[in-house]
Amino acid sequence: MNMQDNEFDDLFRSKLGGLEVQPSAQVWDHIAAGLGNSKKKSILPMLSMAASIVVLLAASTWFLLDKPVKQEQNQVAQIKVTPRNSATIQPQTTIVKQPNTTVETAQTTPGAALVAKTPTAKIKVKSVVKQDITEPVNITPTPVVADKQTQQVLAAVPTQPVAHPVVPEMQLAGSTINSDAPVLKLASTAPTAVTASQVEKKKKHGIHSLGDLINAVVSKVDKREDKLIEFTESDDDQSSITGINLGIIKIKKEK
Amino acid sequence: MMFLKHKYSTEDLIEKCKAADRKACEMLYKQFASKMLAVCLRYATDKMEAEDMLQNGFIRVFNKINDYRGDGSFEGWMRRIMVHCSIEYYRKHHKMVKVDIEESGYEQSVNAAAASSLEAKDLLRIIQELPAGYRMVFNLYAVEGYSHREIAEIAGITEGASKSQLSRARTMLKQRIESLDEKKNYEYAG
Repeated sequence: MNMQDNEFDDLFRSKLGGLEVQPSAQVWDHIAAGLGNSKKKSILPMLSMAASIVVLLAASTWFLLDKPVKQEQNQVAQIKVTPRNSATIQPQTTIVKQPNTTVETAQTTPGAALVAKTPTAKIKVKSVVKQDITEPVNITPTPVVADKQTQQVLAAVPTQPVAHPVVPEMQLAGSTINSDAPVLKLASTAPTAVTASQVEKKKKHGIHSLGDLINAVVSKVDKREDKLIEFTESDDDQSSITGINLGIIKIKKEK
Repeated sequence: MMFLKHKYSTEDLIEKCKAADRKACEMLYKQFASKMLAVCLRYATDKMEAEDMLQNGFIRVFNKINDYRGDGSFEGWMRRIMVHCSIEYYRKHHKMVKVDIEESGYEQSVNAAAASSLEAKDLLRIIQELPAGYRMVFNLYAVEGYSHREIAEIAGITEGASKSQLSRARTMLKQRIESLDEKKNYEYAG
């Protein structure tokens, strides 16, 4: 007896339709791994977006702040050029003795004037002046050598501490001065100690949220006291912005 | 296995899977895996290939589980996904090899008693021995019950190709059944 096509098909359907075959155990593991990957992928674009925004903002402020920083670095370099001998130290001590002259040079040097536009820079200039005045000075009438070298140092001295909070390579500049100028050493080491303690304080707080992560990244890039963007250091999930510093515009929420 | 079925209904498990409950996904998988592997086996040449298809199919089931609105049986919805994944797998891993079999003038006949006596695993084996294209069309038409137009759409071939491949598949299967039957008779006699 021959079979019709539909009978033939029915035979396969009925016999194979209800078939069950147990798969091997590792199939579920592969499926679970496949599902896990797709979930991780969904978080990644969010993180990369946040990171790129931070990098972009940091890069743009860096670019904006780049010009004054370069000029300051040039003047720091000028100090390096001056020959290291006792003759250069002597004129520097005269600067301390005559605070009025240093203030004047600070205002006339182009580098200092540029930096003075930012509020932080203004404060720093003031502090330098204060320190110069309060310095206990025993006035010894050493002759002021008005040669070219002295003028260079004169121009460089007031801007040097100003450069400190902005330029990350400050320690390099500071060390060269240490060997030459004992008076300046006081002025430059004090703020360094402050920033070092601040960093240590920040590091104690681990990364618990996205805000902390951004804080950590920003602090790596932005060495200013007031960061480009700051989040709360609270442990709860919703971190909020506590400070923005775009150079000209600066907002900071007090705790 | 059995007590799990009593603890949660399939509907409960589906709802939990929609909320990305991994444990529920595993339970749902265990409930349907052996049935779905049988589907994949018909489209594969061996069990290893079928398990690859099954794996892809279940990953899609869980990723698309929110699309299942409860109209029609869940098993039927799953089965369709398995079939589609199997065909995709086959397209990715096998080139559509055109096998030219001689167009015999006469229709191959098969003894009904011989065909009925074959067990499911024998039928599965002879399907797996078919050229991939024939296997796919025969499965879609004879077992899944799709029309030639639907097969043309799913498999990306013309309706005519679907029809001719189906008839060639049937012819090949009948030849295989005949030879198996002869072998059996020989064994009984011997």
